[in-house]
Amino acid sequence: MGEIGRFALQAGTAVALYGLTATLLGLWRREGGMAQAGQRAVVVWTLLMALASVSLLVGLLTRDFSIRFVATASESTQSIFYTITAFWGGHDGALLLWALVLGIYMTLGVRSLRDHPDLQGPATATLLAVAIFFSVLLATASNPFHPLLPPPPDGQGLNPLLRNPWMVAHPPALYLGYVGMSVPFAIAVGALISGRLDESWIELSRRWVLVAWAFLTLGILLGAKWAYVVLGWGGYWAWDPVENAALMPWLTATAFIHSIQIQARRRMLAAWNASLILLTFGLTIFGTFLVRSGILSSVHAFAQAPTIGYMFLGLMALLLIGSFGLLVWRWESLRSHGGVESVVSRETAFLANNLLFVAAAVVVFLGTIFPALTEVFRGVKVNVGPPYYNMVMVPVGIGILALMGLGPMMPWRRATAEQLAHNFLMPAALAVLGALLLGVLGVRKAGPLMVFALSLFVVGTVALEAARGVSVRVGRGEGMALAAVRLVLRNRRRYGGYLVHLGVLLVFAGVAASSVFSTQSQAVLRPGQRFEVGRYILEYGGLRGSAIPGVEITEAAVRVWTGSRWLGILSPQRYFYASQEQSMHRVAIRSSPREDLYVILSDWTEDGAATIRVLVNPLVSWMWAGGVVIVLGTLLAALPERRLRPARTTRPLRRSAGGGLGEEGRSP
Amino acid sequence: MIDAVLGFALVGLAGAAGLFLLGPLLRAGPLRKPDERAVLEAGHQALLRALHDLDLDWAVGKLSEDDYHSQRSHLLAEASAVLRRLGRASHEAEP
Repeated sequence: MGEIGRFALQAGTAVALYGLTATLLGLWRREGGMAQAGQRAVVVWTLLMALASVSLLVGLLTRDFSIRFVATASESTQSIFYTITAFWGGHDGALLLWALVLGIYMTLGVRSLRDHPDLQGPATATLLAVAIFFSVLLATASNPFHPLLPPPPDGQGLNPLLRNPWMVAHPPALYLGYVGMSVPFAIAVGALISGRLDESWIELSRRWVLVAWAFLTLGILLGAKWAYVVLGWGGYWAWDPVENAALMPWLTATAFIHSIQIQARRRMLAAWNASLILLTFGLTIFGTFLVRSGILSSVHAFAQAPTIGYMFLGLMALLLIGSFGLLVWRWESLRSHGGVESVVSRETAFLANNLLFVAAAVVVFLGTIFPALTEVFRGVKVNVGPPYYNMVMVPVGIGILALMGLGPMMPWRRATAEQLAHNFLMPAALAVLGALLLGVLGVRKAGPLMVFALSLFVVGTVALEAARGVSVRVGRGEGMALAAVRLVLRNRRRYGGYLVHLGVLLVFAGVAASSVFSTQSQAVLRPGQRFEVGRYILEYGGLRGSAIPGVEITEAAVRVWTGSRWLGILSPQRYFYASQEQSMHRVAIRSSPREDLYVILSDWTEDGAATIRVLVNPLVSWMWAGGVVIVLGTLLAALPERRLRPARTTRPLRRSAGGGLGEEGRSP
Repeated sequence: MIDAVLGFALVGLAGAAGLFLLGPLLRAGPLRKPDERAVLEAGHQALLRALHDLDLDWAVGKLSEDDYHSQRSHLLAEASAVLRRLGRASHEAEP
């Protein structure tokens, strides 16, 4: 299998080079056959990456330890499930997965541009250039089929930290997000090269960005969930460089998703939008560079590999210099056609939102590279910790939250005082009432109070708009349920976006509550002893040892009550992986919408005493639920839309004598 | 035996891939031009979507009557212009 894999990767390099040459010659000589050859090279390259991937999978499943990657990432006692997922459990395999995902995106992306040959050619060339980089990397420095002779009798096994279902799902989701940004990047480059800089490239990119953004969001949340259940420190986000690496392109992509609406509607910010998507893809490569270069230490990072780091640095420099060079070249053509007419308008709110997202990305970028900078200039790595990020990100987050309520309810161009009162009075009253109620219930800290009040404000604005929309349709004779469903389905972009906002509110609420109101306690207990944390009573019942192939398990029994109500037994565990001589937490979590009871077996002694650490983390489950809502909302917004008919859409609505809206049976 | 079969299969696949890749080079022809009608149709749909959104904004009370009609007229004028260009493009495309 090793030979087939090596052949596929080397052939991939040749095919990608051939494809790029044919595409560029086709563009230069205006030759259709050559351009088509380039498009076919994309398909063949993808098939070769699929062949290499199948070869690696077969190598893993047949325990072919003559392949170095297989010997590093698997062992004979490893379950089939983790043997398959070991594919992306090591650096080289993860890069191959990246290349496979890139191939799939490339094939679909190039095909999606078939009606736009002026964009298709340059976009194909851009994607093939990226493919060449990954082919060369995989065929040389990161070859997952590198032989290991003589083969060892057994492998080293997958890193125990990665033997978790959340970590199984996290890298593919993240790669689908990272790599997905390559298509809108290529479309933007295509628009810049071809000079077709109207709004069409925005529309062609939109769905790709949404899908990639949804995967990136999912990947980030899956990583947070993994950290929460595996690392055993009770949190889910530590501003780790690798976490930041995923957050930065997420922030700029989020800014892009909002600002393209201004371009589509007001023909403004073309240069800004192009910059954002170029930067977003640049940041995905920067993130990969961070994870693989060894420049920064992280629990998520792969082993240090300086050569690979330099190669990624080179790619990043090439992409950013090349693409921003094109942007400068086309600068005059990208000038805005309109301007902001009033500070109180949707475009101003979206602009403010963009500035906050980009400012957040800059803050995260500076905090992430600070240790590398101090090492270069002072010879020692100095890390910035959570206080640096919290100092900036908390106010930025609160600002974004406020704009989530304000922006969508403002009209384009300008808003009058009367409209502001009409749209914001009720949501603002709801926010104030909510804040007062929380104050009465004992919430006194300013940060969470603002987050919850603003969340209620956003919920109020969305609910108010939805209620008014439904009421218009009901006024035209539709039933309430049908009206609601039709309103959402006929305005998918808008209500998909609102659903995403509601998901973000859940995440914000979870983060705010668990960051500020988490309580914890630790005790050394003998069997039968009890201790209390918050409203919980915990009784330690003793230790039990067991084993599965390759792993020794120590498990504590912890009985749990609230008052006199029996909740059950929680069993925090410690796994000891003999071949890696590494132990790992298996935290016991009792999760409810109100809070998580998080129990860790920290330590124990031969006489059966155990150190039990317990955290009560409020609203953590809201974060995970928020992630699901965000993905559903994004899918709704990305669904293909029905074709609008001019005869219906071009008739204006009129207010009827009774105050209702609509004309001739038409509802928006 | 298995290696030989695998080898033949790979050579066959490589040959097929080679033909697939090189085939277009034998068919000389100019680079396709953008389908003007498709581009205009997409632009027209975007304007209709903006009109649809504007209607909803007005229906839920985000806009004043004056702003609604002024923005609507502006979008309609743009949509009509695109429609006229679309008509011309369709007419020119007819044999």
